[in-house]
Amino acid sequence: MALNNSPADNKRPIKKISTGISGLDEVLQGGFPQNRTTLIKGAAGTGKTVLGLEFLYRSALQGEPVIFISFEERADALRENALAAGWDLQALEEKGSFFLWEAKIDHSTETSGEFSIESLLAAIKGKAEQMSCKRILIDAVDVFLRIFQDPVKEKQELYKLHDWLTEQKFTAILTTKKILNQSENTFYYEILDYMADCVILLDLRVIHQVSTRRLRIIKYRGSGFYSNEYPYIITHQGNVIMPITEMKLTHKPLKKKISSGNPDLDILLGGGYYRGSSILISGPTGSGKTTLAATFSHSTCSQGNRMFFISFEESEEAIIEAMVSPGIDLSHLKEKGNLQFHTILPEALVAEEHLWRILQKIEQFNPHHIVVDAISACQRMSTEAAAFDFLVRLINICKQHKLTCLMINQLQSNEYQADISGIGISSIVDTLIRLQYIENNKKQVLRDLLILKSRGIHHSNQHYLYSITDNGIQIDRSGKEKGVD
Amino acid sequence: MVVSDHNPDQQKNDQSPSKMDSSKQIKYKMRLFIADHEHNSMIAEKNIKKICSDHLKNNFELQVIDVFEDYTAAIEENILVAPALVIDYPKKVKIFGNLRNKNKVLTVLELI
Repeated sequence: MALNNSPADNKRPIKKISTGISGLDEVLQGGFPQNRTTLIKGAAGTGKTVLGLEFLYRSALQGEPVIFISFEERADALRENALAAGWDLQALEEKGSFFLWEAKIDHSTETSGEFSIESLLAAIKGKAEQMSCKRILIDAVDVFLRIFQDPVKEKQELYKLHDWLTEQKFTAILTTKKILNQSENTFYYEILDYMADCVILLDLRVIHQVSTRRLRIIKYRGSGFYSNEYPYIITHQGNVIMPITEMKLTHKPLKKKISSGNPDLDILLGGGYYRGSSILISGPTGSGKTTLAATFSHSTCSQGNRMFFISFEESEEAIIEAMVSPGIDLSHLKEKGNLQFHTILPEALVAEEHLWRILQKIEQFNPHHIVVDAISACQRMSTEAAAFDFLVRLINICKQHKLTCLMINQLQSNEYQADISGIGISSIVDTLIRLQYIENNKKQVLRDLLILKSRGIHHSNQHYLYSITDNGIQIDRSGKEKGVD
Repeated sequence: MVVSDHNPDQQKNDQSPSKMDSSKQIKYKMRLFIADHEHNSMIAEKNIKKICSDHLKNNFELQVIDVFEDYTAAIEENILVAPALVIDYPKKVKIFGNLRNKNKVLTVLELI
């Protein structure tokens, strides 16, 4: 996490206004600079307009009059897109708090001699005075300036626009395309960067066939800001930026123990899992990982707690069905409402969107614990890095909400050197349990359990044999079998 | 401030003498958007008035609109720059600029 603080910070803090956009105020440490110009730039399709639009919409909803000048998109298309996000612009327009001006450039226009942007300024001034409006979005200012067909003139007019907006004390958002490697055009974008008090860069990348949106603050005059790249998504309710600024891994020490649902495992763990801790259970197929998760779910739900079970591998029915044979009845807990499943294919969404949906459900259901089956599947969201990011954020959310987070990691191989940690998150989990198959000298395949790590618990470092019975998992606590190599 | 060289309600003005039945005979209808006393706006006004008197004779109607006085017309017409000439009739065309290129204006008006 990188926090940029300019030296002027403590002397004269600038006034900020909330962006109304989830997560963005945190990244901007308060919001957009008031009575100043903010530039949003990015290539086509990166969501500049939507970001600006959400700010305006949320402002207008709060009774703050706003003006949207669109040089590129049609007004009816904007209204339609907004409505898809549940934003009724038309209602606000009728109320007089939202003015949408489709100021498209008419390309049949002729030119003869010099002209300047005064008419635009007069129109903004007149309309803004009539509405008592101080917030304005000028979308695709680069498209507008192209009518001058003269780079020097474009630069002059841009200066004029910026100075005028500042002089008139508008909180202005300007959007522009980021054009790379076009030496002819780049210079005034640089000028815009220089002029604006706050510059936000949006980026849309395709990584492993998955589109990923990133937001970065390049500059914030007179203010500190978080300079990292933040993933963001455009949901059906608007923009959601996911700052890691929230990621303070200074969580309260773990205190209360809860039963894992398995009496033997509870003893090995010195009493059970810590409430609010993160637990990772790794093992190959059929080693009983999901059974341990289901045992825990059954135990805690039977005590009246709520469990949120995320499955990236199996359907709800398949999990319930599979747990019948080890004697775990999940169906009645589901019916009682203590157990809620969230089953979705990792490929279905980008990592940020998965996280957002899970967050929404956690907020609705308010569980005590969650299960993630399995974190190995998260890589299918896009890359291993994205999966890691997703999991770190999820664990962090659990810590904040004081939820116990039990994660399952499917190992592809039984090799000891295989990734026992699970996408590298072993260092941030509190408890790490490894299940594996071993062969004894009689060529019998046995199941072996090892507690590799258990933060704050005086745990046993021994290998234990276990079996999956029709009464759950039975651990032989007499220690490592003699028959094992 | 709306300067109208021809007000249709009055059916006459100084440049469209009363001897013409102006409401039927007017061939050119134009509006010039200016920005107060801004330099190019002043030039444009002078230029278009000269073109009118030299080439359009009594056949025109010209309205001069100061965008700082009447911004609504600018929004309706999407006039983002000033000066800007909007020719409403016979053919809708916009010309941005101080109109210093007389031939360009005449071409648009299909007079040359």
